[in-house]
Amino acid sequence: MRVNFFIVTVVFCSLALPSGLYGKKTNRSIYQDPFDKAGGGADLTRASQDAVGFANPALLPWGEKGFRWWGGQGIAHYSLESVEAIESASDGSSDDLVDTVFGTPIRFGFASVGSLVTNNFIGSGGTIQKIDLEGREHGSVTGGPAVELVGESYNGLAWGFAGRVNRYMSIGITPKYFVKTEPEVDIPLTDTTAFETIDTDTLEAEQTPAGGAGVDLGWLLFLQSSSVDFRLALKVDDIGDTQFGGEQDPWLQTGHVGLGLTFHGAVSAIHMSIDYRDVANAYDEKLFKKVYAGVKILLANHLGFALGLHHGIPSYGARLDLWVFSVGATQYSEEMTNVIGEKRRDIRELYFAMGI
Amino acid sequence: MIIRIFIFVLILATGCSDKNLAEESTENTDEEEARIALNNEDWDSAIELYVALVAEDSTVYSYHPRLATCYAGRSGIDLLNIVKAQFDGSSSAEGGIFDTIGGFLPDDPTDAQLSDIDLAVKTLQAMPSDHRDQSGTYEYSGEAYFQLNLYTVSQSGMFINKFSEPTATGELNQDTLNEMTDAEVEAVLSNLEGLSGGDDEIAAGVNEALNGIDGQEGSTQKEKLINYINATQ
Repeated sequence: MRVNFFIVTVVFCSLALPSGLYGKKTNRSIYQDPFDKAGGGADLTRASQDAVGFANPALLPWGEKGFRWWGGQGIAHYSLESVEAIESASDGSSDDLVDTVFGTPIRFGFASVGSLVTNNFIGSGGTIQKIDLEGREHGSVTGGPAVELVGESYNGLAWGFAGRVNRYMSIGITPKYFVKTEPEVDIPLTDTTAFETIDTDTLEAEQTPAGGAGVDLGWLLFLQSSSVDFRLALKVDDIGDTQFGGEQDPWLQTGHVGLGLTFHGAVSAIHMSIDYRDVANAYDEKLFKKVYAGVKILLANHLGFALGLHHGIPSYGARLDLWVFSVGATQYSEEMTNVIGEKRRDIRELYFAMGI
Repeated sequence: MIIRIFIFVLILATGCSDKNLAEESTENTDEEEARIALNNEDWDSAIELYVALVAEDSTVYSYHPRLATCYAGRSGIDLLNIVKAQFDGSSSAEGGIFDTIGGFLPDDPTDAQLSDIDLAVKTLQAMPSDHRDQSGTYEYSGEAYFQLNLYTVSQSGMFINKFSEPTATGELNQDTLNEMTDAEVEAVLSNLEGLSGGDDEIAAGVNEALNGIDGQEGSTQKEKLINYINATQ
């Protein structure tokens, strides 16, 4: 009987990952607003409302209003190639399917986050799920063909508390609790015994979601004038490492520094920022994965454009805010390994937010 | 002012390509360079880099299968399509294992290609036996085992292809087949016998082929192999 390679692989992957399908968090927050990603992911000195708790809680006290936002946001996350791959796969032969898997990485996911934001507090809860599947002709550790599956699955809550220290400085703290799994499964296709000898108990333990609590701490220096603002941010994520139950890897403590410069009028502003993340290099990543930079342009409080460099690759996006709801689209790229171009993903995020 | 900056940024953005702007300033380790060359199938560079890595520390056994893959790639083996054929069932074509695998090998291999596939086999054989055993202790020994078997069969297939010259009538040129030496035939069959003890598909195919060769008429191994090639081509 003819065995369909694609189906075997996908079914295997599904069985191997019994829950939360869904690489690994390194120096970035698990949740970033898509508009901030469009701005290169530099969010230490300015972040969209619902993501402030994750970006830098010390940003909270500098809002104009006491009560700032109560609502939710849904984000669709996919690579353009994935759409083409699914279209190609849906039309037929297994040869096409095999070629599709080996020619086109598949990445999709979603996030749904609800937040209550005031000048001193943010409470956020949500779910973030992403999966990335790729067949690589020389992807296995021995140089043979392999299917690689990586994913992220996070469900949890974060609470940010912040206050001004003086006229120029604020500090904030974000306790958080998340249940996560971050599977990375490589299936070498030349190892014909892999399916028979796989230790399903160990694999299941590694992929089973587990909870962990941690704390982030942020600090902001904010120097304002009538038309130009300067910001310097320091932040430590996962103080003392965030440990998880089961077989889940901890999130390592990382320190970040960010600089921002804002030129503003009454209702419009242009904010330029650069973040240098994981200063102590806890995750052993190269410079291009640690520097995030971009420009956000906010026009008449309702329209935003953002441009940046995310992992060294241009990113861009736009957002339209219409009182109770907002919509936007972001295009950014991600280098999944320390080697430029080895596993690059060009990702699009479409999002819709509603709130008051 | 803001509008001017906005226009400037837009112009800047449209001038940006989708290339990673950090590429020129980012250095890679030798291992990463070797991986890039392998992924790009730049066999000469990859071989040079992996040979240096193996020489640097010959106990890092993850480099041996990668180096062997590079030699096999340079010899003309289409590894991905062989694997695909395994999964989609097309490897069960009639004509025996050489006929099946022969489709993924060079039709008329050069001496350089034969030398490369020989180096692929020898590179894997240089690993400790439990690192290339079906049930070995090394995490990827199963994969190394499969690769060694595949490259050994490929070496035999390429040897047969070298002497299999079709004539205008569709028959094989017997003069070319007879150019095989007894020593070459014995070496090929000896390599294949080394694979026959496994319980995987390749071992099954090799056993079938060895039985087929043994069942041919002929007083020498060479005659039997030539008769087998004529019968299955």
